[in-house]
Amino acid sequence: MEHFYVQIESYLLGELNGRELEAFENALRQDAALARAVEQHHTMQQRLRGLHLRKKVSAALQETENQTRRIPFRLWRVELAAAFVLLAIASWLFIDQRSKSARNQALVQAQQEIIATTDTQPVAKTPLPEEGLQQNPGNISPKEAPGAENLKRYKTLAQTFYVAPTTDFVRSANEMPAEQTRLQAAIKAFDQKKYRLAADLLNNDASLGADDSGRFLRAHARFNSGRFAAAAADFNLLENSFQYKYEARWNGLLCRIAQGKAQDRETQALLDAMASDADFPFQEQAIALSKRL
Amino acid sequence: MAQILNFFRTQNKNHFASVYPDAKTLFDGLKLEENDAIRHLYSKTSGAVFNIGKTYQLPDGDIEELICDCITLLLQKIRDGHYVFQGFDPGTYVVEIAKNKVKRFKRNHLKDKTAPLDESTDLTDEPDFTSLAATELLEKLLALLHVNCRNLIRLKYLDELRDKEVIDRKLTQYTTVDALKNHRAKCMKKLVDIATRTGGFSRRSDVGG
Repeated sequence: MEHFYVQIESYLLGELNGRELEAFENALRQDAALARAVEQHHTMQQRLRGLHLRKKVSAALQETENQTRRIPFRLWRVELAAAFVLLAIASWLFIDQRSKSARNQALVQAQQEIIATTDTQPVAKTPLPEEGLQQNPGNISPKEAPGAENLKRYKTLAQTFYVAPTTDFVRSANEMPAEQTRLQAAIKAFDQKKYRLAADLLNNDASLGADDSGRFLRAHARFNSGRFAAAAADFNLLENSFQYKYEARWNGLLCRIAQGKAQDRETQALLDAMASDADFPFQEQAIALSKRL
Repeated sequence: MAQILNFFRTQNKNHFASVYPDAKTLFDGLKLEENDAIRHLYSKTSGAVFNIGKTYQLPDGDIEELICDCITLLLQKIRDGHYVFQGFDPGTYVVEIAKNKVKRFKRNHLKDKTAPLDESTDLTDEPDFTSLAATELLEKLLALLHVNCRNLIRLKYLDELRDKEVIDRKLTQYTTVDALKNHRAKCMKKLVDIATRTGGFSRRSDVGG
C-alpha cells in the first residue's frame, strides 16, 4: 500500500506506463484501501486545481478592477481640470455679464421709467421753439432754409469746432454707486457715447439736478445726438452760468450754425464778438471758424 | 465631453473585443486560461450576473464572488472537457451558471423551495471545487500542513511548475525529481488525512456554492 501510494500521483497524472501501470492497476483492483486512497487523492487534486483556477480568475479580475479604478482616477483628474477650466470661463462670463448688467440696468430702468412717465403724465420740458427742426425741415422758412449741401457743411463745421465737456462729471461716471439717479445714469450713458439715451434720461427738467451740470450734460447730449435746436436752448440758458458760460456760448453758437443759421446777422455778430474778445477762451476757434464760414 | 469620457471608459473593453471578436476566439482564449480572455468574459457577463444577483437581493460583495465562481466553474469545465465549443458564446453559459447558483442559494439559505433549478447547466449533482466556500476550506486545510509540505503542494498544483523546473531553480531542499515526488506524495497523503480527520470535505455545502 505504502509503495503504491507513492505512485498514486504519477498514476493520476498519466505518467505510468508499461509494467508499472499494469502492476498499479492490478493492485488497485485488489486493494480497496488503495482504491479509496486514489479516489481521495484524485478529489484532492481536483480541489487544488479548483483553488488554482479560482486564484487565477481572482487575479485576472483584480487586475481588471485595478485598471477600471486607475482609468477613472486619470479621468477624475481630467474631469477636474476640465471642470476647473469651465468654472473659470463661466465665472469670467458671469462677472463680465454682471458688470455689463450693472452698467446697463440703471440705464434701462431709467429709460423704462421715462417711457412710463411719458405715458402717464405730461413732462415739464423747457420750451423749445425750434424743436423738431432736424426732423421736419419743412418748418424752416424759405429765406432761412439753406441748401442741403450747405446744411451738411454747417453741421460738419459745428461738429469740428465743438468743444466737448471737460468737467469731471463724465470722468466720475465710472465711480458711480450701484443705485444711480437719473442724472448719474445719463452721465453713464454719455460716457458710453449713448447721447440720445442720455438726452432722453434728462428730458424732464426735474431730473437735471440742483446745479447747472445736468443741463450742461443734456445740452451736450442733445448736440451730439443731432438735436441742435434743443441743445441751443440749453446752452442759451447756461450763458449766465459761472461754471459753463464760455462753453455754453461757444457751443450755442455752433448749434445755430448747425441749424443753418451761419449767415444770420445774430450769428455773425456773436462770432465776431468771440473772435475779437481776447479773454474769450475759444477766440482762436472763433477766428478759425469765421474764416471757414 | 461625455463622448470623450465614454471613449476612455470603453477603450479597454474595445481592446478585448478586438482580441476576441467572436465566441470561438474567446473560447480558445479561455481554454488557454488567458487573463485577457477571463477579463473579456467578465466584462461581457458581469452586468447580467449583477442584475441577477440584485434580483435575488444579494449584497454587492456576494455578487462579485458569484461572478468569480461562475467564470472559474466554466474554466474548470473547459479544462475537464465537460464544456466544449458548440458555437455559443461562453458568456451565455456563465450567466446560466449564475442563475442556477443563485436559485440554489435561495433554495438552501432562504428556504425557498419554489425557485426551480435550471438543469441545462448541469450543476445539480456535480461537485463544484471552484466555489468560494470550497476553496476557502481547502486553504484552511493547507494551512494545517507543515510549511515544507505546503510549499511542495503549492509549487505543483497552484503554481503549476514542472518538477524539473522546481529542481533546477532550487525552489525546495530536494535535489532530484524522484525525491521531490516522494515527499510530495507523502504531503498529499497528510492533506487527505487531515481533511478526512477533520471532516472538512464531508459537507456538501462546501462544494455546492
